[in-house]
Amino acid sequence: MKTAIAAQNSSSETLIDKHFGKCSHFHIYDDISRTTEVMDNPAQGIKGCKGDVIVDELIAKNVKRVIAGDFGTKVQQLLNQNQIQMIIHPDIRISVSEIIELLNLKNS
Amino acid sequence: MSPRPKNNRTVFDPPKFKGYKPFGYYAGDNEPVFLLFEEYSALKLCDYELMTQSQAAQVMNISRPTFTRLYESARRKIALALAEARPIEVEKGRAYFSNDWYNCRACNIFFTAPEMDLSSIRCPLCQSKNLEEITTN
Repeated sequence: MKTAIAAQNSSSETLIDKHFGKCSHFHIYDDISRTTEVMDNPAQGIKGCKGDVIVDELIAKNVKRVIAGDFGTKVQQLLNQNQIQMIIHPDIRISVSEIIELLNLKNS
Repeated sequence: MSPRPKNNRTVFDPPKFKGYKPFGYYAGDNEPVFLLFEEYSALKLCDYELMTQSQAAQVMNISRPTFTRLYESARRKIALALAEARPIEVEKGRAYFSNDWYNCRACNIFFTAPEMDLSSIRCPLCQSKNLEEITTN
């Protein structure tokens, strides 16, 4: 299953972003091949609702789960319609690599 | 004659706290102020996501005048809590969640579980089964 993590920059030690739509990069982790792909936020620079652009891109990459500090109202509707699991991590002092470690533990 | 029952208000994400507590000289054991889920949601839509009141009313599935009353009640409760140094507790009102949210008591995250049967739901990060389902019905 592919998981997209909203992050503050492209390094794997970066912290997760507190807002899904406004993050700068997405780290897409594939728990079968155990590889991470870093993607720029396709909606950077767009004003207003960015949800549809991001969700289209994530569907194209076959992402089934997203993690962020918070989600906007409109993007929640879109993700719900597309059967993508949302995870809100209220403590945004956790880094992307720590989350990937947690996701790995489950498989082993 | 009994009054017409209230319609459900659609709420998206649950508040990430159980309440707030004042600290300092006057912060004794004051009676808490109970803020409803839908009042929290109204305040968040208007003042955090910066929607207009009519947009927010559409999102919550209620009429614009109803939304305005809800929003006013939220502001008044928060002002009351601040002015009288009273703690705030969130309480389920007539909120209806558009998604089924789960709260993991072990690692304190919130998640939705589309395409999963209820018996096999585990926390996606820590695998704990100590979950709280956040629904109102």
